[in-house]
Amino acid sequence: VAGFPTLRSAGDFLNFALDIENTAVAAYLDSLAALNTPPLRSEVASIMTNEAEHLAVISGLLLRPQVPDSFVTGESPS
Amino acid sequence: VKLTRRQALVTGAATAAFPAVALADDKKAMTAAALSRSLAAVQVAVVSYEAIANAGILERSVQSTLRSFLQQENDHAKALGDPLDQMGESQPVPPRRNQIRGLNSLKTQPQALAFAIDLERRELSTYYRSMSDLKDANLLKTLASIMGCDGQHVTVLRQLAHRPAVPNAFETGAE
Repeated sequence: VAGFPTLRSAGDFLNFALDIENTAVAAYLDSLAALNTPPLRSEVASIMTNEAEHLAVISGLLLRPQVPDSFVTGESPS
Repeated sequence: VKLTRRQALVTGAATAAFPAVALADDKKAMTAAALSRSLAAVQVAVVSYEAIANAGILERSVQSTLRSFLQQENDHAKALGDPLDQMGESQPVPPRRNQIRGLNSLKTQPQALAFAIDLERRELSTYYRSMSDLKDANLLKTLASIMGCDGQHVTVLRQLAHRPAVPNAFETGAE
């Protein structure tokens, strides 16, 4: 994959995974209001929450706070 | 009864406008109900975490974790209660400890963790259902970001209870 970063250690990989999960959370969150089919909003929220759970596990492996914020918002996709 | 042309026009206009008014009322009622039942679930968590954290049955590190969850649940309660206030709707009355089944009988840390996992799952299940009833973009984001946080709570609790941390690809609050 073009632009794929070189990952030399477990820490590199975990930080990269953290970025991916954060970006995914933000993207799902941004898309919610655009979904006109009500059950689809629930499904997207359930996927977004699953990604937030991944974030908690990865943060724990990096010895960082697993639930640092009261509101999970991810980061804006670049 | 015969209507004048003016009366007929007024009646016709009112009839035509009525569905829009009814829809707006329906939407407001659905939004208020979704916020209210979500807030009620959070209130159960607030009361429960407070009781568990003060019960003297947790290791210090676990107690500290649950206290941080309590603070976050308080933030969630405010985020869901404020829009209800702005809509002129009443907030649900928080439960008392003895109204929460099983809370007063917790004697050990594993019992408390299992209870807290169920608590978070019930919250997640409520949010999952409520997402379908919300249309407002800001409220959807607020509820989803709360759902994400509670998903992280249940993940940490599962780890503390030595259960699989993320057992499902879709977090709906189901086991």
